[in-house]
Amino acid sequence: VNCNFLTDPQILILASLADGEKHGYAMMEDIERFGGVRLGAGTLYGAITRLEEHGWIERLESDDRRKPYRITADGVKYLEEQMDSLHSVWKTVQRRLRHV
Amino acid sequence: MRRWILRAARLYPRDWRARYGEEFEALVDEATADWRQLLNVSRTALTMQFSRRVGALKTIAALSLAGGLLALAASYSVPPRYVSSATFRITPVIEGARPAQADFLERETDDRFIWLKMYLTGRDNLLAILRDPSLDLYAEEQQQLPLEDLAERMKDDGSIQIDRQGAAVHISFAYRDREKAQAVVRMLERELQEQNDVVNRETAANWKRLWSTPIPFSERIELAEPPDLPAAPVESLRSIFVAAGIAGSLLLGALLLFVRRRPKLALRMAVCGLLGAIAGAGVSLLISERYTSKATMRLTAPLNPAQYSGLAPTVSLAQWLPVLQKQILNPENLTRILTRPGIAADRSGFLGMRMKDRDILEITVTYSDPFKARAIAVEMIAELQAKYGATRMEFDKHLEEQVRIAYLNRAAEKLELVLQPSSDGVLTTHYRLLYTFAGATLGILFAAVRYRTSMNGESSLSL
Repeated sequence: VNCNFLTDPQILILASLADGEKHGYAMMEDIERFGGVRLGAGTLYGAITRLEEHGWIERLESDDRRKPYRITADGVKYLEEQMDSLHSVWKTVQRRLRHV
Repeated sequence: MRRWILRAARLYPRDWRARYGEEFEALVDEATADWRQLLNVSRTALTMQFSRRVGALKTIAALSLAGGLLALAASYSVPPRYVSSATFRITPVIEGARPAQADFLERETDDRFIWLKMYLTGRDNLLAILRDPSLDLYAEEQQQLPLEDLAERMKDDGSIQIDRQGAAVHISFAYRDREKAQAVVRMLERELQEQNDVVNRETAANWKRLWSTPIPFSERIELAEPPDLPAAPVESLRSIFVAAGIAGSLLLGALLLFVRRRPKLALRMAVCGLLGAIAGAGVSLLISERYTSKATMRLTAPLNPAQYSGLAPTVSLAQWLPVLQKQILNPENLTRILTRPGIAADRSGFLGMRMKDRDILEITVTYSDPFKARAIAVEMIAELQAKYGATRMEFDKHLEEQVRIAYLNRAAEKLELVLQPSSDGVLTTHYRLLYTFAGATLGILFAAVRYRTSMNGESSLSL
């Protein structure tokens, strides 16, 4: 699990795209809405670049200047793995908190 | 502020801007434009540039290291070479009390060294070394190559070296067996002494015959440092291997990075380069075959008491060369040489005469027919000797008739043929390679310039 999981731009973008394809600005707005984090344009596109290089998201063809992105099957798998890890940590923390 | 953010976005790598530039610009147009956004874009652009450069440097460094290590490993497959060397002193010895001109003696020593070097590195002597059963040199190579070729290789690859610095003469031989290397230098040492004695005797006899007096000088060769038994092989070959390996890997690394970063441009350059090379090779086919014939002549030191005492001037090749060039290479004389029966050549060739060393003259003839190239060289040599003889006599016309006749022997500087004109050396291959290379270079440059022009056009539209 990434130590900055909840603010990791890559996870946030994957989480945003899990809801459907979006272009850069739509992702920025969505992430602010559900994560409470306002990503800078540079941070957003730095993360998009890395996600595309990993093959976890793909760009869709568009005539618009704004290009929509979609999460790939590998991206879904990766996001699920991260969620499982987070869930396992969450359960452990819950169990331990009961004994405090 | 938006304008500043877009300017900061120009700090992203070029290939990144080519892919994401347009949509990034659209995002900047929609998102809040403030100083935080400006800082964010600047920081991420610079980080991307830096990480890519570091990545490229790491790739190149890793490739260079691998190349260097591979070359080092490969260098161990080459047998080590041991160099044995010996040093001699060559000095003139004055017999009796007759004064000698320093210039005369210096020239005599030069002449002796040139002669001895030519003898020791000459075909006959090298063949004798190769045939010596006690040395048994290049046993494996002798199974594959004729002895004559091996002798040529010995001379060309620098295995045998004979150099002079002032009075010191250094002789060395490089071989994979250190004891054999030493044995060869010992053999060269014996030959050097023996041949020097032979030339001393012949020169003395010539002088006596010409001037009826005993010769007042001779050349002495003394061993200063005997042939050594090298303890360790030379390392230079290994370092050359490693340097070549690193340089090759650096080039390969740079090329790979270039192809990875600019695949389209690399492909265009490769295609244009290939087309250029084909065009260059095609043009080179229009050039007729060229052959070169080379001959070497030398101006011998004179055997003359007047010059020995400084009463008559000595002449050098540097003095003679402009005179001879004017006489031989003038259009009228060249036409005469080229139109001689048996030659019948046109003016498409190249004829040259140049001073290779103090008293060494090199004649080069390049022509489309190897036999004609050699025939022209032979003709030039005959002309040179005739014209030199006539001019030399004219130069000394103030001297007595008897002396002038004697000059025709070894009494004066004589222009001798040292190496017969060769008839090999095809130049066409070099020309073809040159044209092909030039074509490829032009093709690559063309692709690069066109790409640059098109990029300049595009960059005004987006980031």
